[in-house]
Amino acid sequence: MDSKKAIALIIKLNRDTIEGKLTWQTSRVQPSLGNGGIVIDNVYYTEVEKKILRLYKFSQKYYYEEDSFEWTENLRLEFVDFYWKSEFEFPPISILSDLYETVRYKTSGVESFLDSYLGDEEPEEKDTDF
Amino acid sequence: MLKDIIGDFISWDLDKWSQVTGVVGFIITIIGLFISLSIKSKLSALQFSYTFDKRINEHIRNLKNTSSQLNDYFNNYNTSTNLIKLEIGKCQSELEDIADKLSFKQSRKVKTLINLIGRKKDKNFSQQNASIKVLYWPFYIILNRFYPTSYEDVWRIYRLLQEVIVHIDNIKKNKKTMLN
Repeated sequence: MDSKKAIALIIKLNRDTIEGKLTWQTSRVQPSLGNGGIVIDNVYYTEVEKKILRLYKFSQKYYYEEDSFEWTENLRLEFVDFYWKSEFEFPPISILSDLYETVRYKTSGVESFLDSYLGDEEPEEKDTDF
Repeated sequence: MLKDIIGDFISWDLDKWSQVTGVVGFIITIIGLFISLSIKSKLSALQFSYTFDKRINEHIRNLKNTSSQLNDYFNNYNTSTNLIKLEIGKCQSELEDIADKLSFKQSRKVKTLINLIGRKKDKNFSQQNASIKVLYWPFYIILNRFYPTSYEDVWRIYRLLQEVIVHIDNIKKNKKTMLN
């Protein structure tokens, strides 16, 4: 897949998520990973143009010699069918981490929590004039 | 035959010998000069390659940090415009440092982003919902200089930054493959 198209897609997903046009949900179905891979944190999914997109972080053994390996953390965005089987994996480009953080932030409900818990309390000014 | 040639050499006087050895010495010096220049250029290329390899991971890490910071600021865009300005300024210096280490062809994408940031970062930043005036060439080029940097412009910088990260990552991978 052309990396430019993959970047454009992930940026659009990220932007729509930030702007609230796209909502993600957590999935209870764990993806099956080879090489003793383990899913870290939640598995998220959303529906776009009648396709289900699944996003998750996982840890996998990376063998650099026959019996020497190290655990590496990766992110995966993929199309899944209605049985949660993977149909297509998007290239693992670095921008996936930005999308993952946005999805985590939005699905955690931290914004509504802060609004309801802090109420009318004014937060300290984040921005400063230069 | 061989005897004649040797005889010729023996019959040369000291003057002729000094002329011939002078010419031979000159030719050897010129060849030596070319060899040392070639070795020097290969050493510089090796030194450049070493510096590139040593620093490139740090550059990629810094660009990824900028990307993740910008992504974070998008969640509260209207209150983070000055922080965005600061972040893209940092990104511009990082990109200038990277561009020096790339060939002319490799650095084109990086320079496009440097120019875009240069045009946008010192202007006022408009709010996220500010209306965008659609201008067409040639009015766009003339009037765009006076418009503030919009939310769309920051997304454009972010998109180009992603392309640059992938581009530099690919250069690094290609170089690694060539060395193996």
